[in-house]
This record gives sequence, structure tokens and C-alpha cells, in this order.
Amino acid sequence: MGQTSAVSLEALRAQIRALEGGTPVHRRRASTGVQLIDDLVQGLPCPGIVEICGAPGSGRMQLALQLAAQVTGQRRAVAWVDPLRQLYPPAAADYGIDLDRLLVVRPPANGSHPEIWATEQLLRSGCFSLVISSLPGKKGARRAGGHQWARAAERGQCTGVVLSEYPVRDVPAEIRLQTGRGQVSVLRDRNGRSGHQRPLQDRPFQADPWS
Amino acid sequence: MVLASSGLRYLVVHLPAFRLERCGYEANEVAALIAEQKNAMRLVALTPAARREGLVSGMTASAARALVPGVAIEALEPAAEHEDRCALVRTFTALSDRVGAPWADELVLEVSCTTHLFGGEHGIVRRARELCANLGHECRIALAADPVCAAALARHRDGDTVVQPGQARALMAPLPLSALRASLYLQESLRAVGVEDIGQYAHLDAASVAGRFGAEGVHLRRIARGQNPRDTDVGWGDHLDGRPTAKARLAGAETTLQLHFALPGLLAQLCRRLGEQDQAAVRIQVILRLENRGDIQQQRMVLPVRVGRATRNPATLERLIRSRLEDVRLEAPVDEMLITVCESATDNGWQPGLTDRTEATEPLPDLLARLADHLGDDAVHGVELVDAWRPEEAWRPRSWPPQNPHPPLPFTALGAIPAGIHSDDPVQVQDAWEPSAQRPRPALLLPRPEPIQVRVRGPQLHQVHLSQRGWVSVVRSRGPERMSGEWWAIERTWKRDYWVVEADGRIAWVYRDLHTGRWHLHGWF
Repeated sequence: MGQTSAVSLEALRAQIRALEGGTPVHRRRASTGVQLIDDLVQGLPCPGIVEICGAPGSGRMQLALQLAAQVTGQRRAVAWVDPLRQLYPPAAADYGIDLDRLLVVRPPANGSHPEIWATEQLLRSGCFSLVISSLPGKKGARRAGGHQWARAAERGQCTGVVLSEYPVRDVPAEIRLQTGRGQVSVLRDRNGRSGHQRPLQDRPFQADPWS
Repeated sequence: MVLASSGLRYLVVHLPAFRLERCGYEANEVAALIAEQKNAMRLVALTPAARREGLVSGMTASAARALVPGVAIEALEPAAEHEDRCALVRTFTALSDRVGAPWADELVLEVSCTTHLFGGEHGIVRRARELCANLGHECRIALAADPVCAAALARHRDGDTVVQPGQARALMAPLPLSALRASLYLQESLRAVGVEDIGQYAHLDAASVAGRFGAEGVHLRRIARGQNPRDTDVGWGDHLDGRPTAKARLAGAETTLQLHFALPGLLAQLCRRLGEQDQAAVRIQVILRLENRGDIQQQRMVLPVRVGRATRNPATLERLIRSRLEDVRLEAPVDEMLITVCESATDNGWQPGLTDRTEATEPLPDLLARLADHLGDDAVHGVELVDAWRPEEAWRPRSWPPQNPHPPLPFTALGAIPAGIHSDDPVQVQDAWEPSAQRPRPALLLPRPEPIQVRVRGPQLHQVHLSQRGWVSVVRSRGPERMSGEWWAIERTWKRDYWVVEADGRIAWVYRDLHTGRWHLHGWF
């Protein structure tokens, strides 16, 4: 979709919001401090939802940790919803995340998807600039409640980053990125940058400091 | 000590034909809904015109057709009807945020806080009628201090009724006993002694009613006499081991929505008492006393509610309690609800910190308390690093926000020269370097290492067998990084060779246990 079409769509959405009489929502792309993301999609929406999908080990965590490091470096708090209990804090510290500003939420696995509820509460609260949520689940699984995240992020004026293995249709992501084979690709971008690609930083294979 | 009524006002919208109107019928058409009951298809809902023809609920469909051959009959679709009722409730949230549908043909709204926005009680009644007309539903509306009273008047009187203080008894007097929604046993018992209408019931002696008909009889007698049945008892040292408590009798509330109506009054009284003592609630308990039935083991449910930041703001406490009630499933109707303050603190007020976000819609302590209540104490925490060699023990949970934050590291990037290190002492320089000289660790660490198979070729890894992908070739690898420890404890000694492996477009952290010789997948980068 060209830039002209994207601009026209955004203007149309603004007109619809004005007709419906809702509170105007100012959408902006804020620089993240992560060069790769700023080059790729010119920052992340605030408020808004971003999805990063990819298999474990494909680099999606690298992007999320870099984003969190930038936010905590600006003395703001980050919440991380980790239902699979796999987030490894020593790695987070390696990326420069200030652990004092990181809240970890590990909902129990009781079948009612409490991670969906927890993510919405964190987005809506306004207490965090960035809320990262790792979604477990299989390809094509539906997750009731994800459509409320966009509104919750608007209310809380924050950015939500959803990490998943496969694209989740129920999540109204303004930007959808995919990692794999050393690359990060833009699957969807309302600003019209779909299809763009950049290589990921080759972090684990950097020069061994002990060699 | 009994205090005055809580000042709540209930607007009840009676929709005599909603269940058929949503199916496309009008109130003046002879139509009925049927559902299977007692092994037969029976009428469960009727239009007013069908009632005038002599049809009654509970009649079999065949008997109904025999009586009125032209009756239109539809099968009840409970799920669709529930959705339409929920949509109706949402529509009426334009008048109040406290809306419920506790009965099939009525909506109940608590409007004490919103009436003034519509120009008074008559104004809000007019607005409610407009909403019904827009949706194409016939309605009758009543507004009173008690929802059962308002529902009785809306159902049995023509037109709309606004009950002023002192008028309820006179207005309800001519109505039949069934308007009070009394149990069949109570209705039959009263008819047996010649009591046919609410006026006669209200004249009965209180002690006799209590003795013969119990709590239900007493509760309904108060309503029949125009008294508020939800008068609260509040006092220090009252109930539950001397803790301040407010309670309300609910006469069989069957849904948590009905409990919401009692909250504002209870909390207003409780918070006023806390204010008199300069105290704020830190922890409260909501106790629900259930109807006494032989088939349930517990006669009461205790719901702890954490408050986060100590408060005596009724709106804050109500929000926390309503959130807590969302997941509650009642095993039996609730006869009584108590709210007790388990822990209080002197209220010194709260000053937001310089780093608190102005965008915050909820104080952080309240959010953390709600999350912990819903998810469990262990589910919400911060993290701190631990000086341990075993990777899975290199961190532990801690409270958040931390009471004693660690000073920020003087460097951020792996391998960067530490800032602020100007010493000539080589030991100090080495100590400053060491934390940054650690090899990269995986962003994801599996809670339990997953056994895998690995093929090696010489000193390098050649192929890895991943559970969902089968054998994949290793594009590159780095290692081994040998880690070991706890040699002094036989049952805990461990020795592993870790490798960073790239295969199938992904980077994994695997290790070989040198005691067993087995390979495991431990994490992902």
C-alpha cells in the first residue's frame, strides 16, 4: 500500500472518530532509541500495540529486551507478562535493563488465559510506559479479550508489545514484525512500510571477551 | 446501632414483552415462547395480549393451542436471549454505571448519583422511556428506594411511578402478594391465613412474621411497609473479633451483580467511620453468608481484598471489591454481605512521587494489589540477580518496587569500558570489568531443560534434533563454556558444557551434562 493510500486511510479514520464524537486519540510514532526499529518503522506507536512474532530463538526477544532497556534507561518502568515463565533476568541485565524498573507478572496456567486479563490491566493502568506480553499458544488459537488491548493502551497512554510465535489475528496491532533467519521483516504497518526488512544484530556470536 | 438508609434510588424498567419483541412480535400480538420443562414443551414467556386471552406460563404448548388456536409460538433460544439482554443492559449504562438484569422482564438501575444529570427523577424516567421507545420496547417504569418495591410498582401499575419518601406503603398496598417475589411457600402460607395483598401483609405483627416465616418474611414485611431493608449496622468492635464491619442483608441475592447494589451504602458508612478515627483501610474482607442449604459444605465465602495504598475512599474500595467479585461463582443465594476492615493504618495522605506518570489512571500500589489478588502472591514480583554459577539459580524474585534500589551499573553495553573507573589499582579495574565480561546469556531459559539429541563431528556440533523440527544442521556454534559447582554436596554437584548453537534460523543454548553424558536444550536467544 503506497504512502498516499496510508495517509488517506488515516485521515478517513480521523474523520470517523470525529463523527462518532469520541475523544480524539493522538497517534504518534515515538523514537525508541533502538536503531533497527527506528529505521524500519520510524518508531513505535504511543499509544498503540505492536506485535513481534517469530519462533523462540529467532530474535524477537532481542528486540523486546532492547526496547525495554531503552525505556528503563529513561527511568521509566516496564511490565513484562511472562506466562511461560521463561524470561531470564540475567540476560535482561546484560541488555542493560535496569532490573529495579522491571515488573514481572507470571500468571498461573489455569486455562482461563489470565495473561490476557493481566496485560489489559497493565496497559490500562497508565503506570508503565511499555508493557511486553509473551503469548503462549498454537497457530490459529483465538484469544478472547485481545481486541480490548488497543483501547486499554489508549487509556493508559502506553505502548504494548506482544510476543508470539505466530501472528495473532485477534490482537489489533498497528505494526506487526516477524523475526527469523537473522532478519526482521515488517508484515504490517499502518504507515505503509510493510515488506521492509533489516538484519538482526548478531549478538550471541559477538567476539568472546574471554578469547 | 442502626443508621439511616443509604440514600440509594432504584429505577426499574419493566418490559412486559421484551422476550417476544426481540423475536419480532409486538405486545398486541398473541405470541408465546416455549421451552422444555418437566418433559413437555411449556410456555415460558407471553405477550400481554396472550395473557389477556387466558394463556399462562407453565401451560403446555398443546393446551395453549387448544385454548387459543391462533397463538404464535417460538422456541426459546437462551444464548441469543442472553446476548440481547446484555445489549439492553449496555444501552442503559447511558443512565447509570450500575445496571443489572436480575429478573427476566426487568432492568434495575441504581441512579442516586446520576439523576441530577437528567434534570431530576422525572427527567431520568423520561429518558429511560425514550431509550425503550428507540429500541421498540413497551415499558413501564418506577423509581423507588428499594428495587423490589420499584419492580412491583412497574409491573402492576399503569404508567410511570416515582415514589417519594413515605409513599411506598400506600402505593404497594393494593398489589398482590406475588408482586413481592415471595417464595411459593410464603405466598401459600399467607393466603391460608387470609392475607391476599401487600397492604394486609404490611399490617401483620413483626414478631409473628419473624416467628412463622423467618428472615424472608421479615425482609419482605419491611419492603411492604416502605422501609429500607438494607439498613446497615456499623460500629467499632462490632462482629468479627473487634474489627470494624458493615453488613447488609440481601434476602437471597443470586448474582454478584445484585451484590454491587449494596456496596455504595456499606462502604460510605464504613469509610465515614474510618475517617472519624483518622484511619484508612489496608486490608479488607468481604464475607458472603450463603443461604442455609444442606447440599453445600460452606455456608460462607470469604474474599480477601488487598487495598494497595491505604485508603478510605469509598469509590476506590468499591472498584477493588467489584473487581474481586468478577471471578466469584455463588454456590447458593447470598443472605448477608459483610465488609470488615482486617488491617488499618493512620491515614497521612499520599503525595505522588516525581517519577509517577501523570497518565496513570490508577495508583501503582492499588494495581499491584489487584494483580496479586487475582493471580496470586507469587505471580507479581521484581527480580534481582544472585551470585550463583548454576544458570537457573542466578536470579530470584523480590518485592516490587524495590525498597533499596541498586545503584545503576556504570556501563550498559557488553564489553564497553566501565565509566567512572579511574583507579590505578589493577584489582579494582579487574573487578569493574568482570560483570561486563560475561558471555551472553539466553533471553529465554526453559523452566526444565529439555532432553535433545546432538550429533558431533570432531570438536564441533554437526546436527541437533529439535522436538518439532527433527534433525537440523548446525550452521555455526560456539563453545564449550564449562560450568560446574557444588562439588562439596554429592546430590547437588553438577558439571555442564554449554554451547551456543545456530540451527534452522534460530539460536539455542544447549549443554551436555558431563555426569550423565546427555544433551539438553536450556534456552533460546
